[in-house]
Amino acid sequence: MGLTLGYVVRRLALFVLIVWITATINFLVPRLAPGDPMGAVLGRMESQGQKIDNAGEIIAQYRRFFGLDEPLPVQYVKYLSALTRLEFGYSLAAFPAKATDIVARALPWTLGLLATTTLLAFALGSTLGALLAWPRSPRFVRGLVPVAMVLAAIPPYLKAILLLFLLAFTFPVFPAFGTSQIGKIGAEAFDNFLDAIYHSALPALAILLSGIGAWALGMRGMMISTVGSDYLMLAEAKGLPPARIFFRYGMRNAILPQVTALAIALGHIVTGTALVEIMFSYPGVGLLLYRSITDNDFVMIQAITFMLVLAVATMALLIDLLYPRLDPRIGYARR
Amino acid sequence: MSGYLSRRAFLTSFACAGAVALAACSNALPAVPTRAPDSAKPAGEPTRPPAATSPAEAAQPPATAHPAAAPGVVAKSTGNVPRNKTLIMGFEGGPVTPPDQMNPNVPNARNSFGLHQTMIESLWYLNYENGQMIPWLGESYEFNKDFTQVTIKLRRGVTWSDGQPFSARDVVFTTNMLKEAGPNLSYGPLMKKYVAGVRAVNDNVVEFNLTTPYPRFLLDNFAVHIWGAVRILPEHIWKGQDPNTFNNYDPTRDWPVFTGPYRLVKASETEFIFDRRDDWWGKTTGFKELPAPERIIFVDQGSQDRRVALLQNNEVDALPQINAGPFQTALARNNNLIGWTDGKPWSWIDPCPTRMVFNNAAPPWNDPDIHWALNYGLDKLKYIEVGSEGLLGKEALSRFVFPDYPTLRALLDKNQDLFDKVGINEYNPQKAKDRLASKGYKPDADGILIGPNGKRFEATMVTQSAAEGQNMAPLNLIAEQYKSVGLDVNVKQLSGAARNEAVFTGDFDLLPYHNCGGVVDPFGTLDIYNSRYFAPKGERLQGGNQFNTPRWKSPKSEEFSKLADQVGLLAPGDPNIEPLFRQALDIWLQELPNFPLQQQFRIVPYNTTYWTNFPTAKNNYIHPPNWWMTTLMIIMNVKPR
Repeated sequence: MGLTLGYVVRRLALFVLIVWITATINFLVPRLAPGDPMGAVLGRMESQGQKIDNAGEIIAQYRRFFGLDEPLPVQYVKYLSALTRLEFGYSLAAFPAKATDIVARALPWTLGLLATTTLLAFALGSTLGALLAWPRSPRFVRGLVPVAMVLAAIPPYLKAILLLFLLAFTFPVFPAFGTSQIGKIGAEAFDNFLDAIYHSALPALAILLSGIGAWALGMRGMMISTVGSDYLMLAEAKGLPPARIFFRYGMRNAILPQVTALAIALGHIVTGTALVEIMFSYPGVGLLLYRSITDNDFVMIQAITFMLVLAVATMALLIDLLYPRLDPRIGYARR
Repeated sequence: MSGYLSRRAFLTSFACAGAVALAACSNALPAVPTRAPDSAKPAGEPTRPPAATSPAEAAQPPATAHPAAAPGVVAKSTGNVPRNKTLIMGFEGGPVTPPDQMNPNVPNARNSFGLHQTMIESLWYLNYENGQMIPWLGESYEFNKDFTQVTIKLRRGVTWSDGQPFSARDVVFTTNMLKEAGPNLSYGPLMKKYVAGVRAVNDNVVEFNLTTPYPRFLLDNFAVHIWGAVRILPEHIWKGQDPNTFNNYDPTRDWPVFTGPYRLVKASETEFIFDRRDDWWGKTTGFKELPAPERIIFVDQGSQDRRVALLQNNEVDALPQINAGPFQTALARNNNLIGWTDGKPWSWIDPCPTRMVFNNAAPPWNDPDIHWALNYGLDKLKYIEVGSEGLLGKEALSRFVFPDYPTLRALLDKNQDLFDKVGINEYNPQKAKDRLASKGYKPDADGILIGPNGKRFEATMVTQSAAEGQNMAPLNLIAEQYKSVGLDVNVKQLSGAARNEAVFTGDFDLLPYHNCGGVVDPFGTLDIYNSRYFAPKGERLQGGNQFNTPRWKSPKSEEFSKLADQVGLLAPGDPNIEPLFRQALDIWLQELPNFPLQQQFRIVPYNTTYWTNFPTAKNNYIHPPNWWMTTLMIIMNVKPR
């Protein structure tokens, strides 16, 4: 039982294959979408009252600069070569800014918001779910099942609207948008940090409430199948403390599928939750992806989706490799 | 046991792999340079540009990026400024990405997050309210007789924010840079096409020699005709920089450097802060007093809901736009809010009215009878009422594709007989049906017409998508009304780049679209229908989406174009323009390449809780857009409450 070198090598090879296939799809799909990103650039110039006399020349120059006039196979080879260096080139819509620079600015906001809310939702939701299935839980806890179902069913952006209405407009407890107080300048880093937390409260709450419900229901399902196990009965017969039985014997065994789901969820956080970020004008990767799609900026789309692919594939790889450490019963030895 | 990884081996290899990955990532992500301490820069010493990349390397990524500090870094901590000395405005277009892009000429430059309102000054500012050009950095100008040369006298005593003098050399440098830098810089193609040569006669006189007679050269390019104008750049900073990639941002050196009364102190995706420069040249020369706001903050105005929150909570003093419903909601909670007019519709007329464009490059959409039939077949008043949710009525009707501004209105009034003869805003479905019947169209069992070629009378109408905020109700009304006269309309919603592409390549039959042309003079509008901008369906329009969007080319359009060209050779206000315009209008009304839909009304809300003397219809010292370069005129006039 356990991890073998052969399995690790095979798993790594699979990882590379998955990343290559998705990178290829990532290269092709934006190019198949209708609309030329250069057209969006010219549209912006016109909206600034400029008279344009040479649209064709401008577009041709940009296409040359971005290598879009080269044959598709040549573009593909250059794209793969650049990917190995995590270089995506200049953004089409925000030229002369580089795609990696733009993503690097947005990423901390998304990671900060979603990593925190995902982990918190996982911890709280899993514990709540376990309690929902535990026979010795207080009755009022078990009455929270419908609440968890409602929370899971309502999408985060609808919760966001409700929270905005209640806590930003009707009772202005939290700010409705942005990441810092308007006009804040020259403050200490800790002060800025607290301000960012305060401004992130509503988007975080919208995501957290959705997450808690979903994790709770998932964990409850796992826990139900664990509750009737013989080893739990033995633990009780041995007179172990109830909390120890709950956490070390019950949750510990029920949580494995949740951990897999958590790994995938953490992989997805890099792209943010676009709708929530749009509603709160939160400068994260989700909002960036949305704007890149409407601008048909395929350099940015490629950068963001590649990052997603890499993150999810990496998390899946890590969880596969860590599983035997979490559950000694699992092994990858070939028989 | 062979083949198995021990816990120690696994953890060791995992740690090594993680270290390698981190090292790779640190190379891939851009380094954030540290900021030089303020004490490193001696007071009063002029800034020097960094090592430059040559213009020839424009096609290659620069080897070293300009060492700008990360946005959000404060150049100098200026402390708090009380709310009643701070003017807060919204900017449109969403978060600015990247926020450290201060090159105003690259095509993606946003500029309206405060950069061109507070820091960049124009040579002149066109005032829509009286049609006059307000002299600012430029003091006076003189054209030669045939409008092939213009001499500009610049105001004396103007300085850049770093103390260097502003002079004719900067104007010459900027013009030549735009000419030579390639086709994609803002105003670059225009300078290349129209400027044969430019020279500094002395420190404050510039002489432009033009390639062709161009009486509107200054109006179109240096007077904020619509939104912006040529941005004069400091030669001592930009010389040697690649104008296509230089981002012009370094808070450690107080860059960007411009002549305006404010300097940038904070830049982030959703907020830009500008502090007043008490050493602004306008004050030191006695030209103007310092503007009252000590600090100006521009914030992302966001969604309509957010605009309501910003206004009702007094978190902003001005926004670029808000819809009628949200404005009324905000007004109910904050009665210090004002629009351009005292009561409904609170709106100002945008310079770009809307029109229904036909694709004249594809039959049957090149047939004037079809154009007139569809003009009569649409109840424009109902269209306006539905689109404005009852806020607007006949005041939004448009006789021609001019914005309803005083000088243009007067011109149309003189030709009212032409409009009366054709009934441009007449709603008469029977007349529409009769016109179509006269062309051989007959209804089928469903009431949809079958053309003389045996085909169904169908049209694809390309519109902006509802996801981007387009109100679909009036567009669905168009489809419904056209169906009743026998035309089956397929409303095709497209977003962003896809819609632009459809307009660019003529992939539509009908297109509700804006028309940005003249604002004080008819030439700008006549020129956009010039047949020289024609492109067949499937080919890109060379003049961008505004020029000959309806792809109008016919014997009559050639006549029209000649008249438009003749108007172009006359200075604005020349009395000879009127008879030429009348002839051109007559042709346009005969062919109707597109018909006017409505004036564009826009609520530009201001909040008088902390500041007063914003522009209104009664106090119309300037037009109200606070996202244009002319915002500086507003800033110079606002007073604390």
